[in-house]
Amino acid sequence: MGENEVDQALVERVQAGDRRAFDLLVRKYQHRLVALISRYVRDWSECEDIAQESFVRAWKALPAFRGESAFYTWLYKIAVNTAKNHLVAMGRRPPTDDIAVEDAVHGPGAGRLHESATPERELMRQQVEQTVFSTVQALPEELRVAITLREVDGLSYDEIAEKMGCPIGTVRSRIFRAREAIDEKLRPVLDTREDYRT
Amino acid sequence: MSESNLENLSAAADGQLSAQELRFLMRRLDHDQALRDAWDRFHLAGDGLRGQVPGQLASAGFAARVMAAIDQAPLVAVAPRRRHWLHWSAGGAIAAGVAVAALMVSQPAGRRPDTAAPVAATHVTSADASVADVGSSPAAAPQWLSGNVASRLTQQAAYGSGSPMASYPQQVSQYQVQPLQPVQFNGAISANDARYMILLSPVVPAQAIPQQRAQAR
Repeated sequence: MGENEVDQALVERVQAGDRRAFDLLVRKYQHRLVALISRYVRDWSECEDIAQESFVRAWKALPAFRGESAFYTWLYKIAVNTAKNHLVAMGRRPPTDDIAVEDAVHGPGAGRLHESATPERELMRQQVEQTVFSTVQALPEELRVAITLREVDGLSYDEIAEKMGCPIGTVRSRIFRAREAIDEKLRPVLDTREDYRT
Repeated sequence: MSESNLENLSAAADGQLSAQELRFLMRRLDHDQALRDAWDRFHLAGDGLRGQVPGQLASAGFAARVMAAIDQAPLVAVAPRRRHWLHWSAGGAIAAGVAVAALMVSQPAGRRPDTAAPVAATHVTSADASVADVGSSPAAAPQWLSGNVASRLTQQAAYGSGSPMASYPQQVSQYQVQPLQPVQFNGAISANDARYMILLSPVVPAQAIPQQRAQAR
């Protein structure tokens, strides 16, 4: 199951009235959305407000979401429109050229330094990436291969099981143990993250 | 935050949970902040492996603020998907089109007496003997117009002397029948062409009808 299918399953739960599924979607995409909006709005204090408003709009519009596009593509459009509306409301001119959704998700520089990034935030980004990379390098081979095939190559559990010659349950366990190891190292790094509202 | 819940969370991030397992996990998430935070970090770790960590991370309490804002937002009913009104309109248009096509196809165009008569005769009642004669004529009311009311209100006009409709009694009821203009196809008059018309004005007393019928025969 790919990312779109995972999102669609959560979207359907939201549409069936499960608010908690929307919490998972917010948590999954919060960083991407804030980073996207920061490309339109330089003032960091405004970025999270606009991101929050985008999520609220998405929540309100979700009953009408038909899954004709990927959830993130749909969310991306809402965020870009919300950011542009904000700029217009503030008497500023919105940019005429948009960031392609592909670039916003996977393109080169999607997570790289831009105008509103401060050295502290760039440092945080580098710390996160370095922590993940170093932890994965230190993993036992079967865990490293399993998590890499899943997260980097995007293979399904079935495909990984076939490649690694082991049952699906073992794949599931290996991927979990790899994530658990990464999480153990990542948590202290993220705990130093500044909460800009508190 | 038990290990099994964490493992289920990991599997959920990869879409590997059944619907029932996902429902159970959702219930756990409702009461487990640590589990929700782990979901966030699992995805961030994936971004890190792909070298796609966003340059701007949302602050620690961002997701909680979003959900609080959603709780205060006017609730939009999460209803089952409804079809757009255009879908219904399109359905109606198709149904109307089919109905029109059915009317055009079923319009009798000079049926032979042997085929037309039984259809009309089945709808004739003893209370309307004059219309019963129409049933034995070459032209019969279409099935969709059958019934007493339809029979009384409609008559078929015959065209030309060469038409098999020539002997059709033009006044078999208290209503006057006016022949319509023949329709030509490629210069020839179609013997099978026929039209129905609604007659509103009685011009002949009912007592004269038997006499006219005898003349027509």
